[in-house]
Amino acid sequence: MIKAVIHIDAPRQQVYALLTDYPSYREWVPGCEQCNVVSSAGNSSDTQIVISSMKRIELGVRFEGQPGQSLNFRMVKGRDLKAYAGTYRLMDATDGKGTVVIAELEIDVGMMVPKFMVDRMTRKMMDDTGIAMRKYMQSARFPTAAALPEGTRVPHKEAKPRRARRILRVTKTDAGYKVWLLGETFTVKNPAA
Amino acid sequence: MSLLTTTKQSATVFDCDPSLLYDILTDYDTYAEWLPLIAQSKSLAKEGDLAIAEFELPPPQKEKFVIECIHTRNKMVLWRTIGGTIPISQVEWTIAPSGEGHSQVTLAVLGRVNWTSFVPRYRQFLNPSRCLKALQSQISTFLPEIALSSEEGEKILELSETDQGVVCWIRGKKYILKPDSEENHD
Repeated sequence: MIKAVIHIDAPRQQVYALLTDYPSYREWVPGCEQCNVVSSAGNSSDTQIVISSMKRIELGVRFEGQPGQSLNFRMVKGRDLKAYAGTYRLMDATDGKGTVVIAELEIDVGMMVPKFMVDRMTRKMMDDTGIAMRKYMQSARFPTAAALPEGTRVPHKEAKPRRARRILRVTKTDAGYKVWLLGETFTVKNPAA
Repeated sequence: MSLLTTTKQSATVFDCDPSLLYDILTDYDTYAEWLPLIAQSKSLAKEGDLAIAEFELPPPQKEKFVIECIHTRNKMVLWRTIGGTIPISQVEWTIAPSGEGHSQVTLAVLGRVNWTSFVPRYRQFLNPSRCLKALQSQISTFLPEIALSSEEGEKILELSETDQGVVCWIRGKKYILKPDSEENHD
């Protein structure tokens, strides 16, 4: 399972809306030629996807979402790959500016291809998808978190109270000065002592 | 590509409660202050017992890497590296009470062998005993009596970071310092 973290400058609901707008995949997912919804029930959708990368791949993918939280997907039909499954998990960014997407993807090409090569290609694909998602989000269709009107923005979480801590202490003794700084003690000797 | 893995482990008993250790280990914005060979650190996202953080190594590497963190309050902090080429795949801090007011931390670092394993600077990264020593220094900033218990003499100057701001004591007088941006300037 290859993982990637994608920071998107848009609220979580909008990122989820983009990820579940399957026909729009053609417009932003690198190499996606076609993405048609075959059937849909509740938060589950079966799609027919054509990806043109090193070779043309056709596969049926089932998406199952938890609105605003996560989107799981797995191959249910297709001959070009043995397995294709993954998840997008969405979290509010700590700085209050958008969404952090944790993407996970597992691909089994089912041939005599070394795993490290498949993993490398998968990672590249995920990185490219992250870049494309960010770019597409910045387009006029999806306002960024910063451009949203006040009140619709995800509020910046209140920082929890911090424990008080000592930074510096200087003490004068007969022998000189003792300087305690962030856990370390230094001694400055008085030459006259 | 990783063909081999290695594990390094070390443990230390600290004079503090597990909650302080847990608070320090889950404060991803302050790791750069104390963890050796970390130039910058920031929390990207946090929800319940899961957090995502980004660390940056100092020059010349300056490499950024992302970690996925799973917490069990006052007991365990587990990191798994997501991005980057650092030769570490998992870091586990286990906290256990060790008598009244004491806690033991065991740090286990799971390494992966790749080309960075042969770069001296990377090899030093997340050395368990060094990290635990650094953690001791960080703890003593919250519990300075550990370091200062036997101290004699006249306290000339003391600076403490609190929620009110930085509290400064100079020869028995207290001053509260606020960040520059909060003051009115011409």
